[in-house]
Amino acid sequence: MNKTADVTVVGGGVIGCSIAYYLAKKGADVIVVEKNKGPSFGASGTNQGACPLQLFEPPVLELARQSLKLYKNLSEEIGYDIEYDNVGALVCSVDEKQYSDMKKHVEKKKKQGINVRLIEREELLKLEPTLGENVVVGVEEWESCGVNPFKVNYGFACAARRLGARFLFSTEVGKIEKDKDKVTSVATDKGKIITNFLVNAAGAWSPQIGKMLGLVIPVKPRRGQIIVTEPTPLNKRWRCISDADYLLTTAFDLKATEVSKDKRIKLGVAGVYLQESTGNWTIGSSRDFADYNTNVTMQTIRYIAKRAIKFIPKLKDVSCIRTFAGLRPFCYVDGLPILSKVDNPQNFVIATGHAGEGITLAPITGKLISELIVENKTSLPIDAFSFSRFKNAYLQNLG
Amino acid sequence: MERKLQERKVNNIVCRCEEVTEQEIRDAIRKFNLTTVDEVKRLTRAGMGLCQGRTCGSLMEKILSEEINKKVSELLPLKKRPPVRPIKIKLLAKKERESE
Amino acid sequence: MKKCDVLVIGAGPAGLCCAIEAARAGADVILIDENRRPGGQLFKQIHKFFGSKQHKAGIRGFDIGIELLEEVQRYEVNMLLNTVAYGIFDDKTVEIVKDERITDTIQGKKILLATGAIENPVAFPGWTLPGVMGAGAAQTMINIHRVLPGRRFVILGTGNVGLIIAYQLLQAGADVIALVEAASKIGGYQVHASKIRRAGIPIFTSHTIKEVKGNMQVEEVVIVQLDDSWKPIEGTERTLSADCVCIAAGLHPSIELAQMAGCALGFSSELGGHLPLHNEDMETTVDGIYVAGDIAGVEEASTAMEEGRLAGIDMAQKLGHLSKDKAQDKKEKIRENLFALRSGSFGYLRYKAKLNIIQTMEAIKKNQEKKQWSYK
Ligand SMILES: Cc1cc2nc3c(=O)[nH]c(=O)nc-3n(C[C@H](O)[C@H](O)[C@H](O)COP(=O)(O)OP(=O)(O)OC[C@H]3O[C@@H](n4cnc5c(N)ncnc54)[C@H](O)[C@@H]3O)c2cc1C
Ligand SMILES: Cc1cc2nc3c(=O)[nH]c(=O)nc-3n(C[C@H](O)[C@H](O)[C@H](O)COP(=O)(O)OP(=O)(O)OC[C@H]3O[C@@H](n4cnc5c(N)ncnc54)[C@H](O)[C@@H]3O)c2cc1C
Ligand code: FES
Repeated sequence: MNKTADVTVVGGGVIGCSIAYYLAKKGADVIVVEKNKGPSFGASGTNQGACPLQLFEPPVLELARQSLKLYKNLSEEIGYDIEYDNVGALVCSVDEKQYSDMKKHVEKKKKQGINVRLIEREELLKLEPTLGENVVVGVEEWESCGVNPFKVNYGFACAARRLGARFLFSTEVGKIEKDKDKVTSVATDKGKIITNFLVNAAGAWSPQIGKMLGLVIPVKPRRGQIIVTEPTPLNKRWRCISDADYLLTTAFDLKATEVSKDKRIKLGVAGVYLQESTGNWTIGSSRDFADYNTNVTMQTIRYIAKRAIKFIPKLKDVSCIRTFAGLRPFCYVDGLPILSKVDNPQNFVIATGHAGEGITLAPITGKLISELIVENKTSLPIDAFSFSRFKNAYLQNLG
Repeated sequence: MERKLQERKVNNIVCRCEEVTEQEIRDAIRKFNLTTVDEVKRLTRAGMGLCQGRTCGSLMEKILSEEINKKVSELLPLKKRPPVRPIKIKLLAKKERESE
Repeated sequence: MKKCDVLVIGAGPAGLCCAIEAARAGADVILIDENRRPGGQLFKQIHKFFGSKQHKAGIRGFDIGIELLEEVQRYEVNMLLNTVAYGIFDDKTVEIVKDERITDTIQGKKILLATGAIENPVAFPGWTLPGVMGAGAAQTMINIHRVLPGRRFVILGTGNVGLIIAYQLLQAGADVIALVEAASKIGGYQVHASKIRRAGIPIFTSHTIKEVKGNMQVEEVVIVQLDDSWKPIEGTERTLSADCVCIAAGLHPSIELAQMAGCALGFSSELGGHLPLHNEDMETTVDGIYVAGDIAGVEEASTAMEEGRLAGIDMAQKLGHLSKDKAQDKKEKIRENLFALRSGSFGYLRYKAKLNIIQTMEAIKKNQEKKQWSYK
């Protein structure tokens, strides 16, 4: 039987569920369509849940800042503990040559209004004895947090449902019907949904949804692999430690990873080492393009393990209990999210391209997209994330 | 007496590694309408421990099947990933060599 | 990285027999097992075997193991012990750790997963107390390490494993207070059950353990009667004094590596639960990856051996070490043996369940390409 909705959201990941929640809060009648048996079977269930503010650059920085504010009270707001954990963030280098870059990083962050502090080797080792002898310099900051990504995802879903949103799991969108310049309905393997708005929050699969409307969404899956360890005693000061390489090369500079002769950099291995409150470490991560393959590969796991020991040597005698891999929705044109309406069809909204930052950005994305749909204006500027920015890139591509 | 028995039963530990009780598992299933053991694991930590569900996986399947009125045969077991036995990080880091 | 024709993971009866057949035909075989000694469950079985004459019934598991090991040596199978296969990856590569310090990668043209089975836990209040243990652990202690884990035992489960463990405990000098069985009938073979009865040990059918009490370890076991729908009947509780509870509630296939390799799963309660689908030559839905023994359905050492042989012969044939006719001959004999082993009232159920697994596999293979959505 046909269903009807104000807004249909494709994708039950953290982005889709956040959007559903903020829309439902505004009174919209929402249906979320998810092809898996529940939320969190995509990238949202295969990440570290770290939100290290100092790793963000404009224009995304402002989104991250606002998102962190929303996170602070989210547990209370949705009535479910998302395990908000005020872990702060330490960016750390083990390479003398990066010293000057780290100094620049500190200056830049200060200008951006982030309260960072540069810490020299001796002090680092004193404050955090688990760090390795070969650390060079670190930059700390305490606005950052960690969250339990599953709980964020299910928490949003549950809160949205309480407000009347409907969730169709094990349901795959396969076709979108259009009349002139408007989407009219969405066809799934379980029936049709007649809808006023359609939101594409299908993560790494969002290009497939775009294609159903003849749109090229320049996103592709960027695989990341992670090691999980048994619990160890909690670190004294920092439980979220990032490799400076993440900041300086692997995460943002696609060219640098492609041309590098260092196999580790080529595989995008530079991580965030996050110790959960349970004492378990998640050791991430890598970045490669392997289509939709979510297997872990030994070569990459080896590099990740080797690199982690450099930063936190005691990890070498800790047991790995699991590995996993997930697919980041990565915009291969500029690496930025796409939060945007399109010209045609007018009632189609794209919310994806969050790459390795989607957990951090989930609350603000939901809030902004709900504003875009219900009020047709947003409380933060989102021009930088508009779909129209690609027009030139495409023409070039085609030419 | 009867009530006390009931409590005892449900506070029974199902996942020894992570010390998750039967009650916590049943609560999570009901609160979130869970339909897979993988989801039960995500929200309760049962199956996330050192043995990765080797011990508790089948118990989780049984509880879930009772809660959602499905046969265990209709459920999939926990998704598995390497390693099948815990392995030291230093061994992951080495290749075809002895570790010191 | 090491390369080989056939890589066998698990050196129980299934793995040993596969390695022997493949190596006998001329394949280059690596066999690994996480234990210090090969044989899997076999060496724990100091009792005489069940099964037919031809399958060495009446011979002790221990002796069968010795015989198989001699053959493994004769055909120059490369055996790596104290070696864990911790993951299986693309291109049929397997990662191993030997002696907890040497790592390596082994790539097999064909791989047999013969990882056996895992004991089913039963969670009653107190099951985490020291003194509650699986039958397998108890068996290892008494038959291999020769120590008794307690003095006074209650055993939960009366399948063959429960009955045998009871008998072995008696032989080792322990007191067996009672056997407890949730079903209304004893699960295992009569021969074993009558030995227990003769020793005067009570078997409580339609009963289960409600709770185990104790401060630091097991002191008391409370059992309770069950009604027809397996609900405890109030007021039927009785308390037994014991210091050890042995859980023998069956086993389920140890399928982790098969799951990782992407093998499609089926389900059979007769065979212990979820198991990798396989064809009649024991190959799974993933080309070149085979299963045999308890991983392919919990049965007996005798069937495990035959299944291992079947897999080994099929691999040897596909690798060009055996002519099709020759392989066919051998396979037919083995299938006859398997059929014979799966006779009798228990056996026939397993035979049907196996057939069902094979048919499901065929149906899936057929459907694999035409996954067509109908968008309404
Ligand atoms: C290894 C790794 C580590 C990471 N670490 C962090 C971190 O520490 N901090 C951080 O902020 N971010 C991190 N991320 C990024 C973050 O996980 C992602 O940006 C975020 O989860 C994206 O959410 P999403 O909802 O857009 O995508 P997804 O969670 O992938 O959701 C998309 C959903 O759409 C569904 N779908 C697709 N097509 C259809 C269809 N046709 N019909 C119905 N449903 C469909 C999919 O099944 C899927 O569930 C990490 C990512 C990875 C891979
Ligand atoms: C108490 C008891 C009594 C029994 N009595 C009889 C009997 O009388 N007659 C009879 O026919 N059958 C009997 N059986 C059943 C019989 O023992 C099993 O069916 C048979 O051993 C199964 O053989 P297998 O090769 O499949 O597995 P197993 O014998 O269990 O061998 C599997 C091997 O693989 C190893 N392994 C698993 N995973 C890995 C890994 N990742 N890396 C490395 N190694 C790994 C295991 O450690 C193990 O050594 C009995 C079983 C029990 C428990
Ligand atoms: S008992 Fe649950 S993970 Fe080990």
